[in-house]
Amino acid sequence: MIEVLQGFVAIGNVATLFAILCGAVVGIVIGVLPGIGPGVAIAVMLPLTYGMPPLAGMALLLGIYVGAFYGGAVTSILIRTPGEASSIMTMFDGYPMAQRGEAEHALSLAFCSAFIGGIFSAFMLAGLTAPIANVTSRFGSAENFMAALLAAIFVARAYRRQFAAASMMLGLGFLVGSVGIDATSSEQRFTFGLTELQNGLPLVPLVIGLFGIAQALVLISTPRDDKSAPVPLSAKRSSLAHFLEPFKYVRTLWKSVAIGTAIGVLPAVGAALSTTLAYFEARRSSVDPDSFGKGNPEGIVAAEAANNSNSGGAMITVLTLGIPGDAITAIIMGVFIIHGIVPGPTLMSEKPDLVFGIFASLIAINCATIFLLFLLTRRFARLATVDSRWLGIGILTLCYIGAYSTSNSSYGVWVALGAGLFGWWCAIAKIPVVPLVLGLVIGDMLELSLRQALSVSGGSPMIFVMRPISAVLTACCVLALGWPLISRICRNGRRTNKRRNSPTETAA
Amino acid sequence: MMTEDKAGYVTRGRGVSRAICVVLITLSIVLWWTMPRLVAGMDNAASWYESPGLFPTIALLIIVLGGATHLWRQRKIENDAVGEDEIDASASQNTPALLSLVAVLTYAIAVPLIGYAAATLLFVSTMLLLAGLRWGIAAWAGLGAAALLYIIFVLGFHVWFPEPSIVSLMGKAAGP
Repeated sequence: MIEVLQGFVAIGNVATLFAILCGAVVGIVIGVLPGIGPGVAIAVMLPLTYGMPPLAGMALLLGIYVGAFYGGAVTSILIRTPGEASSIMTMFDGYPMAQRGEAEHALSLAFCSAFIGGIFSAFMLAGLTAPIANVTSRFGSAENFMAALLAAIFVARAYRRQFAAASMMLGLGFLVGSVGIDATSSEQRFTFGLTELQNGLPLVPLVIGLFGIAQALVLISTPRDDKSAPVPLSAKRSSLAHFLEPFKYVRTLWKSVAIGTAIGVLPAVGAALSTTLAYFEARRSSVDPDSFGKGNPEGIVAAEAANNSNSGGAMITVLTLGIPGDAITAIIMGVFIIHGIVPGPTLMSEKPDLVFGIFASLIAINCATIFLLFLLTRRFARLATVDSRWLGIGILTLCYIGAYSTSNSSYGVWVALGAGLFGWWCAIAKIPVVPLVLGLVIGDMLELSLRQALSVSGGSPMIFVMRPISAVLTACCVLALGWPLISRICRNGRRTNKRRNSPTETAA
Repeated sequence: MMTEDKAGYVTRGRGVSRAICVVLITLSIVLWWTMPRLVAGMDNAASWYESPGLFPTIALLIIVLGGATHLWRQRKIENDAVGEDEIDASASQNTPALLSLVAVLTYAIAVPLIGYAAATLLFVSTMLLLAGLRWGIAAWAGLGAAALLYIIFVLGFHVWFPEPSIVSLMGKAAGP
């Protein structure tokens, strides 16, 4: 309890509160704008956090992350265009409600459900971080290596038929991360005699290029399609009754926040899956499943509650294991790296005020966001019709100064431009770049723990199966890698059995 | 049935995908071959697991295997839809994108010559003009953007820029 209060005290300063407000506003704007994800904004804003205290920097980026979840619902409901991939399910019932003249009702439901999801997952973060950190603090180098490897496999597996391409990019991330001076042996690797490369390729300009510049190039170069006019909102504000309506669907609400938080903890499993699962579970258990997709408020409650409850869950993995689950949390981890803070099992014992400060920030961000949306929904909704080329130009301008500010020299800009060109090519080729960023972020940890584990065992890989937790994680890795083959064998077996038992054969 | 445009984008996408895989595989093989020269201390390591070349070797192997598998699979299947956090560039056109990149390059070269604020004003105004805004609005937008970014980053966050070359050139031209 005291730590929780300490968290609120930690955010009670002008810098952090201002960062929370700015993050919430930027997040809502990004969420409303179709075609731009929070990753772009977080990548571009990351350099701003250099001069900020770590908690303020985290609050800014978390504000964008959470605000985008809320903002995505606005365009889903008003113009049938999800602002974020995770807002697709909201569109199924939100837009029909808007067409019936219930746009404010739908928006109020969405915002309140998202608020409940966000608050719940923040409390889960506060409640579970300490016990999980207790367990992970007992991890040795073998366990750390296998946990990071499992996360890497999940990330690559998340791309289903693109597994090979995702693995290739993961390997590229590991390789790029190894450029510079090796931390263990202090030897130079792939520096080609250049002083700039002795510190490795800088993370922030790479991320700015891969996400920011690449996205801007796409926005500028994609032909505009005629955006449908948004469903008009009436002059009167939403009523309090609409904001309290999600509590009418208590079972759906709690199932959805549980699904969202649990999925948020898992690496590489995004918010879109949690909203899909929550939505279809709500439909399955509804007394009137046929009304889903035709303007059933319960559909919005399920989707939005699950959507925003991802945020707390995702931060649990970052704070307790130091392993990001997706590109956004990987970039957010950059704030820790910039300030020399090592996220992982020891963070809870060394900096509990930071951990609980993050919890308090999430609560404050959710409150700020819903307050802003209650007042300014109409203004935010207008942003959905902004010309995407202007957005692209704005992002390019911000990317330049963001990349330059990382080293106060043009070196960061050249790195960002090169990464931007590569990111754009990958986007055309549909080769995922998120594994590259994840490989870059977790590569150091993977290498260090691998070498430590092998040093302890004298070079024997049996260490990864002799220790119980490591053995379980190794088994999970093998299962995750081999699952497609196992499921194909099972499917073929079932088909063979079906053919054997089919009526025509029996009759014959 | 696929439209001509979509078919063109799919063909382009596959071509670029193959090119990226081939380049990465080739680069990986070259780096692996030259690793003893590019990674210092490989010969000094007491054991294989202490070598600074261990992890890069694993990374290169993953790149080669992943790239080769992806190339082989592309013979049979079209690339999957993009993931949630990925950028969808399926309708992105080459010319505007490359021209924008050239514009940013020019902007980056111009900053040390004429200063950050002036370069930003020119960049934003020109790009907005090319995007279809009228020159008056583009100019005001450029001025506003330059002023705002200068205040926030240079004055607020103390991002340092060297004195523009044009100032010293003008000083020399003015004489002692």
